[in-house]
Amino acid sequence: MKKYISLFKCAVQETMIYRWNFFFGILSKFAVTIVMFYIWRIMFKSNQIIAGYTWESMKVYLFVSFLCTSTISWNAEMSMSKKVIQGNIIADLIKPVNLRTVTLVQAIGNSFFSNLCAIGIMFYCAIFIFKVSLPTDFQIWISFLISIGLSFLLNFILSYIFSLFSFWTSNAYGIATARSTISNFFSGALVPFELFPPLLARIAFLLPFKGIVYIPTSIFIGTLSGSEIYHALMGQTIWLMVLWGISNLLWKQAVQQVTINGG
Amino acid sequence: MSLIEVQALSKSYRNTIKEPGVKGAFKHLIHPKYEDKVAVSHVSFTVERGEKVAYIGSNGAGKSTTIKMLTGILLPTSGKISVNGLDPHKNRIENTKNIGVVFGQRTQLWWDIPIIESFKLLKDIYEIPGPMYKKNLEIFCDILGMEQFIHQPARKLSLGQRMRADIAASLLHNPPILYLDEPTIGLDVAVKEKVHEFLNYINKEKKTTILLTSHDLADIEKICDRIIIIDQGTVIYDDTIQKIKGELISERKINALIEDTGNVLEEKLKNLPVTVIREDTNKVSILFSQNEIAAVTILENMLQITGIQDFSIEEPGLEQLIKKVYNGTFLIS
Amino acid sequence: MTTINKFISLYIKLMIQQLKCMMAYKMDFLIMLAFTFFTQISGLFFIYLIFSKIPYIDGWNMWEVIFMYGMIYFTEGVINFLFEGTWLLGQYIHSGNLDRYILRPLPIGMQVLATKINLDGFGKILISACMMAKALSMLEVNWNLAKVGMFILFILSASIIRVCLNLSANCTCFWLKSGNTSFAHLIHTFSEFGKYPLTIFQTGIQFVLIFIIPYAFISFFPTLYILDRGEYAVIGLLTPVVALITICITFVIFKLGLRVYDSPGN
Repeated sequence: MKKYISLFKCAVQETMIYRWNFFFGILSKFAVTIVMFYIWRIMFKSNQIIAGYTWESMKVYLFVSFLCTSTISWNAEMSMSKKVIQGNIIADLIKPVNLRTVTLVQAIGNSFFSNLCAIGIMFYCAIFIFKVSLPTDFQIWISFLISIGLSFLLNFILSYIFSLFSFWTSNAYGIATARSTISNFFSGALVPFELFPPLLARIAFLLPFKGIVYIPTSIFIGTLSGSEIYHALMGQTIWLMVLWGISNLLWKQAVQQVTINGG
Repeated sequence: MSLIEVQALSKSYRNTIKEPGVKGAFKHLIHPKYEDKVAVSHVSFTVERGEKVAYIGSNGAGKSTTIKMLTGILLPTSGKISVNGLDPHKNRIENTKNIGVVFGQRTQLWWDIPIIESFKLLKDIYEIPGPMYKKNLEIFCDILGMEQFIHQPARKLSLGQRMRADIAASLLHNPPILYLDEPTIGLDVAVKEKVHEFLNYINKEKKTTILLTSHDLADIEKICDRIIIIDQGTVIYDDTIQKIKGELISERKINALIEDTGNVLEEKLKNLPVTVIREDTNKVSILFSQNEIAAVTILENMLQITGIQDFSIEEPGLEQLIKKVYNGTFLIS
Repeated sequence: MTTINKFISLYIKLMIQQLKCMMAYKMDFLIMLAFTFFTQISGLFFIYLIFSKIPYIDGWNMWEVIFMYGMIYFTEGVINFLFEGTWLLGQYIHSGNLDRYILRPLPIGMQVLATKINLDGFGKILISACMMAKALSMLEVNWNLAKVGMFILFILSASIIRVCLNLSANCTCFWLKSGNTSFAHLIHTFSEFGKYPLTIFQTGIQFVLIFIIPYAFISFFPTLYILDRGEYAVIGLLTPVVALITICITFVIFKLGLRVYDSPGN
């Protein structure tokens, strides 16, 4: 356990050394949210309600979506892929730690401050600048927090699986971009599922990405309630376990690749 | 005007001071602290056409920094450099046409294409006329023995092969000045010899001025005639190698292998201004100063004893001299 | 002029070398092409989704937005395809490999630009060209010779602005010294703003997009001019001027960066 704590500390230190990079990473994620904000604002000028959302609830959706997608910082993703490509993986294979746990801990560490700042910015902007209304129900907050935790783990495991693809191609940037595109689309980060054409909406509900943004956000706004929340949380957990298993399989494949081809 | 003129050249860096640990990293985030480190301080020297100068110092003394300023990579904090009348940083492109540079740790060749293709690319970049390129290529290949690997890509070459290719590459455009930064690091004896031979050839045939940094004193003795020693950013010695060896250090040592196991030799040399050290039962070292007594005199005395099996006269090595310079036991006027 | 010629012929030779290397990594290339395609399509799909709910954004219809979208992606493709080297500048600075470029009698900036090509950039260029062509065919445009000429000039200028923006942003690595390209990445994400009509943003943001990070001149103003929309359409004519200005500014920033370069490593 101790070694994981020091790994975590290391990762946190790394991000702070390059403080500007850490700062820019947050702004990057924020930029897209801001563009979305303006687009929706214009759209809501001519329509009171779009697909069941009001301007008020859409604002909340946007900001919580930002929070959910920024749990893994861009830096964390890139360094995951890069590690794989650069073969640091070999060094880690030799060390007496579980690689995936190491990656998880480092990702948490890398994103730690990014998250703190993101949360800070989000709450500040949401409450003071954009005047977003927050839910008051205690139960909602609890389920939301659990959901966010699961969302973070889902975000991580999906990121991790994608970065494993780096074993087969060598384009870290491409992988990370592809991941964020697919993720943004199917998680509901760009557009709530209510706006999808029916076929796509059904696909989106079947995939694991919804657990990253759509579910926590819906809990927060109140689109889901009561037993629906319970089902949604279960869904997130099951997907988490399935993906964990998939990542194990991929990992075994990848290790074979390394040991056969000599990295 | 000299070919290379360096006046009061200085370079300092700003380093961040960071305390260790998470707390330190956090402090650094909020309130970063810096300190100035001086790498080179008021270095001045001139180099004339055709000279072969060694520029040496311990690690971190400022050698590479000086070379990087001379080649235009770094901007000096203060001072002036003039290479063939040009400021290497301001007139970068003009200056690069006149110089060849070899960095021991890095290559200027393209990694994935055959060496000969790298050479062709360089021919285009430096606008080398066809006949000159062909002639140089032939001669360089010959002296450096590059035929066997010239069609291989750089990444497949051994260090020795790559270094030879790098040196050849740097001279294809007949630059009047060649800078070398640790060119023989990691090379075996055979390759080093080829390199020495080549550099001396270039200097003789084309009067190429050579400025060389190296930790290998064999390089320096084989190639250079002048030595500049830099320590902690300042020049502490600048003169010919002959001078440092000949006139200034007069110590010599005779090593003798003798049958005498008693004190016969020590007795014989008792009245001479020498120090006799018995290294082993059959090995003796005789230390003396050239100023006080000639080697011949000692030998004459020695040969009056029978049983001398072998002897040799040692000049102080450059290494010992430089060590002495560093620890101050060697005074330079 | 000979420098330019020399540079171009060198560039071509270097490109051929890289193409040879790339042919060895076919799988890579195909996967990335697939990803690129998917990214573009999802972007388009997003626009489609929005417009399926409302017919106009601030007076702009779907095809007009798609056209702007195409301009942004086209310029992005140009960077990826021809000038991917800009993203490597930070690495070169951090490792000290920039020395090699400094020691050659060629403009360093140009060497940096020519360092890498990325074939899936070509995919982006193709797809966005199709996007723009389709959009133009669906819109009423008064084509005349001058306008066609201006359009070509706009594509050129927009590409120049985008490349210069990217190079300048990557120059921050001279000062930050970490080799991390997050600032350049930040500027890149700002391209999101260029995909939609400038008018939907607040004045402050508009100011930034016009005068500081001129994405407005990559997509918005050229589009205004081509579509003859409104009184500000004539500003579109300034696009080539903005391109020239960005070249100069980038040049200055790069030179300043070289002054603080400290060539790490030995």
